[in-house]
Amino acid sequence: MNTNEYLQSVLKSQDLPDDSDELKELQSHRKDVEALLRKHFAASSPTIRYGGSRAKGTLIREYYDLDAICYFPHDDTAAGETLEDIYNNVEKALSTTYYVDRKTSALRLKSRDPQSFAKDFHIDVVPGRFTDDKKADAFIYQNAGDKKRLKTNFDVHIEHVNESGVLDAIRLLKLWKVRRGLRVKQFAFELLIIHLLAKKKNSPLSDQLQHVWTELRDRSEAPAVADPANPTGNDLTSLLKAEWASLSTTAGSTLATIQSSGWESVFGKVEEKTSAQKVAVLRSAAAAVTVPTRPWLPEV
Amino acid sequence: MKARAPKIAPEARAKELQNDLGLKYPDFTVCCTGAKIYIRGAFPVLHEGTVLDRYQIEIEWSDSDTEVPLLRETGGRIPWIADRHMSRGGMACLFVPEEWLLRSREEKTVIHYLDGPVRNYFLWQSLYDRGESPPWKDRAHFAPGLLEAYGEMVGMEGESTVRCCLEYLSKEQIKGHWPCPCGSGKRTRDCHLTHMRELQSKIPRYIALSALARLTNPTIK
Ligand SMILES: [Zn+2]
Repeated sequence: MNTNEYLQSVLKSQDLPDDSDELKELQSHRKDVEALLRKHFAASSPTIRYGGSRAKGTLIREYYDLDAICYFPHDDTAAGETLEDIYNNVEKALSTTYYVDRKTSALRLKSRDPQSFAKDFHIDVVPGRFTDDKKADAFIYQNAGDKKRLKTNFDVHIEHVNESGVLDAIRLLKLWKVRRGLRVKQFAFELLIIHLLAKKKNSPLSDQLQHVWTELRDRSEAPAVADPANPTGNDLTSLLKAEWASLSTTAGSTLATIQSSGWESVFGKVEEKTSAQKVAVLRSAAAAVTVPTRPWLPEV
Repeated sequence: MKARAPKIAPEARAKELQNDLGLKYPDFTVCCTGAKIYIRGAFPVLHEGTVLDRYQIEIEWSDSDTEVPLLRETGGRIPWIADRHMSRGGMACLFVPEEWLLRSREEKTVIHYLDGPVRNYFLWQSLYDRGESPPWKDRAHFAPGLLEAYGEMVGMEGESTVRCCLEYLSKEQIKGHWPCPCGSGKRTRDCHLTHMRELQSKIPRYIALSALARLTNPTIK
């Protein structure tokens, strides 16, 4: 297997088929969320649509999510006067059923069921308000950073990524980001990759990855990356800047690893085991533990 | 891999940890926020060179003699419920803290931590997740689990015995005329004094003190 075949096999192992349990579960939660929001904000008739990594074509099994936008008409105030009010009111509505994690602009939904408390549902609800009647551009609230509001466009983002021509590279770099615990914002990271690979769309996948890592390693600071939804307004550099040092160091060590031990040391061996086989290996691994530490619990 | 040199700057310590990890866990990223050191990435549950499962985690590392490293599962796979040994704040409870603290410096490296308690914890969770029975018994929750662990530590049983034993171990010296913790009614010199003195050489006073404090309030860090 050559490098590019290997990388393709890694990508394949990260697919989530349409009939997978994970996606079925996601669909069923999605229905519930939509019903809840429609009922709660009936007077405001929000636009609810779905995006996220599946729509963009960048889904990986190890870290997937569904974005559900919930945008209110530009002249609606029933859902909240300000963007912050909207964000808080949507949170309140969702909290009746879910454990809600407040992220910068999104509300991450987790289980409230005592049997599975805080288990992640992989759904981000993004509240916002359209800028006008055209229902294309919208403002969303930001609870961190200098600016309290961000202008965005749902379709433009999805299209920009979907038609970037570098989806494979984005998926593998996302896997790299997740495995290494890098905390750069996914949408800024995707736009950065597209920016860096603008002239490399036809290069082999391995060259694309090495190019991105080399750029990350060698640039002393984040390049200016425009947000296609608001090319002059949104400064993504600040999002990238905060994580640049660790991105850069990690990219450097990844390149060194490829040099010294080859590509398999970066993404690991691709294993395809049935779940019965997996359980059997887990059992024998557990049986081989000589000093089992016994888990405990200090509080409820 | 060497044990921690005392009072090293967090940035320098983070670099050391990154180096130590590189040997076996190259995926992890170590970084500092103020004085705190975080280790982040996907933990591979390894067995004979293959990865059986992966968990996204964040470790707040500690070299301290009195504090254990803190582990969070950041992928949202494990619910925050008692049966899974996750606290309501999302903290994974790998062990009774003194079991880790009691190890020698040489056995408290980041690799020991990951290869031992962390791997054990996630093996346990991976089997649980697949509807399998747990590979080994977990500790009872709260104070009963502590008593169980401290009982093993001091080689005696029963709440008052274990408590008394820990109290003696927290003192500078164990006197021969004190009543024996075992409840025999004899003085220690006529009963368990030799055993207690042996324990004293293995269990430092600060461990006995932290164990006693935890029995009163299991949630202290
Ligand atoms: Zn005795």
